[in-house]
Amino acid sequence: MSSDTGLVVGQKRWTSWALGLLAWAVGLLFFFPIFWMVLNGFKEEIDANSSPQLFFDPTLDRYRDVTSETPGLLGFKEAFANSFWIVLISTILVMILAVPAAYSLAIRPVRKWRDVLFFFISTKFLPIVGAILPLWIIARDLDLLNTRTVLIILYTAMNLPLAVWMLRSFFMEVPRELIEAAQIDGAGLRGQLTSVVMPIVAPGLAATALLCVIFAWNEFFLAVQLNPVDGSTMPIWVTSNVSTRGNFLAKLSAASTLATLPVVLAGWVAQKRMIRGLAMGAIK
Amino acid sequence: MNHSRPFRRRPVSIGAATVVAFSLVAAACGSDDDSSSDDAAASDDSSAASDDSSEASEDAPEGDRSINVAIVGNPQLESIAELTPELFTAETGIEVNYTVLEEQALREITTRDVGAGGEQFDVVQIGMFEAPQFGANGWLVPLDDFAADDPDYNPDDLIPAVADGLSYDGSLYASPFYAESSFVMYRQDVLDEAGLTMPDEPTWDEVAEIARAVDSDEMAGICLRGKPGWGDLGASFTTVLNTFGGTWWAANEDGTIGEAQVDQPEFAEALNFYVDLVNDAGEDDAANSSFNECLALYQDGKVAMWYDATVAAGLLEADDSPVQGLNSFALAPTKETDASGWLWAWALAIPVSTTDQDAAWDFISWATSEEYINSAGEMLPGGWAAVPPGTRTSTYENEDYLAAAESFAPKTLDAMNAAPIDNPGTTPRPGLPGVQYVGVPEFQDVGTRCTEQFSSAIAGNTSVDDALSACQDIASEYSS
Repeated sequence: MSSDTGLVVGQKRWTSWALGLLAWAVGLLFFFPIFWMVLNGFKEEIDANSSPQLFFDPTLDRYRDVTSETPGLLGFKEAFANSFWIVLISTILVMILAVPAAYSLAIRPVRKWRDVLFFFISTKFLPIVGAILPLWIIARDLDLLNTRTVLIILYTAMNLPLAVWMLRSFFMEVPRELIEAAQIDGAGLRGQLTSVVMPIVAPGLAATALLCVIFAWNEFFLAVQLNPVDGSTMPIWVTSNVSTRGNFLAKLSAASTLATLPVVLAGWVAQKRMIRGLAMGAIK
Repeated sequence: MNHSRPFRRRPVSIGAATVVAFSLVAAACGSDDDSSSDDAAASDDSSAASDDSSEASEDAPEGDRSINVAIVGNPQLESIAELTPELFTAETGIEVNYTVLEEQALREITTRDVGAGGEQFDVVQIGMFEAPQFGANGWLVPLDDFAADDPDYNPDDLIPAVADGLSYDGSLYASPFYAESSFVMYRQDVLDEAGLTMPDEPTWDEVAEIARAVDSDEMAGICLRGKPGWGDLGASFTTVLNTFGGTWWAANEDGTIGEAQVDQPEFAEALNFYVDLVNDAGEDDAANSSFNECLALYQDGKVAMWYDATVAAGLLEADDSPVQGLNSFALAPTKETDASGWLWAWALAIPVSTTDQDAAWDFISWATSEEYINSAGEMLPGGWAAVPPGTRTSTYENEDYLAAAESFAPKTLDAMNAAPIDNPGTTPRPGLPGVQYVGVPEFQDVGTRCTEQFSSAIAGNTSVDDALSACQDIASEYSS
């Protein structure tokens, strides 16, 4: 009897070891390309393109190359600032529009809320490439080509359905009894929102906003089609380091690392809230 | 009754949110209008920059003008951006905003912008494939009148084959900034050691024999493109196909696409030759290799020969190249024809939708002039070896250039002049002239889909026969 339980405990320990090892292996596998990118950014072009080597003389020259400013060319600073403002404004707009929408779909559902919900998500059914020509023609006719405004509008529209869906599931988590208790205590809508609903859904708001930031920050297709000229964004700047004739891997790696950093930092800062938020919203 | 209050308030709060939303968009719009190229965050910088430009324009003959130029990421084209403020804007008062795009994105965006009149760009960079087609479609401004009235331009100095390739119906539609042919680059030391000699004008059989002889475990015999794409494997292979006497389509009498010729014996012979050579003596992972991969392999000493663009010679002989001084060059290998090298140019053109055509021409005239090549040779950090090659005869008569590019300049000029732009093969082709492609828009689709099949044959995932029969079906879709 006692030997049996010993065997079971041993088996359990063995399984958890194996699972842990597997998790590490999968994690490393996913991380490897990023590791390689970071490493390549510190190499000379010729080293980056020749047979892989782990040890080499690291250099910051590639970072200097990609951040050097030439008048008339999209530089790092300009692209960063453009991306920053476009992402910030579009995310604020998304949140301003999505919070009331999610509220009216979760806590105080409007009539036919189910149809509304599916209408929102149906706007994501069409691959964006299928809509690009009409979008381009509308932008041309409204004189919005080559402006940051067109990207702010489209990134807001692009992230809105997702934000509404995510926020709705967070709002569903708020216990009805708490709201009723607040109402009995005489709290108005604003009071209910600020003192009951918002504190509970705050992690969800942070997670949603972070996802919107990531999607908008990384968006390439709309940016390259509608605004490759003035006020273009980081992904466009990254690809401007690709060369058709000549080695560019180290330069591109340095540029990609710079473009990735802000999102990694934002994710790291928001990590705790984000994980709680995702676990709360996504799994239920 | 109690909860009726929230319902009365709701429209108010939605209204407030809408107002905030619109004011944010309006703020964004405003910042676009105020400072056209700089952003709100860097407004200090932008006001400083505009001060500079207004000072410059006081001396300049023209007012406050600016143009948008789309270019491909390429060392020669990026260096022009560095020289523009000093050499062009200071002289003319015209500011130039460059957009550097990766080749495929540039193609899509310029084709759409030029074709649909988007006015996103005042000057677009297009290839030799597009220039005559866009010209024939009426999308580009013909440059002949501008060139004739401009004493600095000197159109007669352009290398004739290049100017022909960028013209339609006798009119020049794009001015070449950079041009290339293809030839064989090889390691003289490796061939010497093996006791082999490369003829100046080799045949493919001779090149294949040398490649197989020098091929070893450490060093492949030859690097050939195997990456799918009409401009990648498609370009290299089509030059081989041409000189083997094959072609993609027969031409109808009116020049339209006739029957697909992929099922002909010449096509099979060319593809079998190419695939066998890559498999016997080619680079590792050939199915994923194109210009940049072969360049890296060659510089790393992993291949002994390389058949590709002439511009590669400048990179192999650059000061930072590990193989500098070890290379020799030979014309593109032939079989049934006299010459087989390709012809390609990146050229600047003016879309008809451009509002300020004079400013656009001023820029093109400067960027593609002999004067620019001279200034670039003196001012660029890469020196004379880094100037845009292949466009003007005067470049190849310039002693400074010849001194810097001694080992490859004469062979490059020979290759450019030999490129059989008007008659690349043994049979008439449909569409406009072209060597490593067929000058019809359909070739982009057919070339890319067929080279996916061929690349898969190189990787050994499909047989050459299956690849040929799939490609014959693809090419037949466009036959009429």
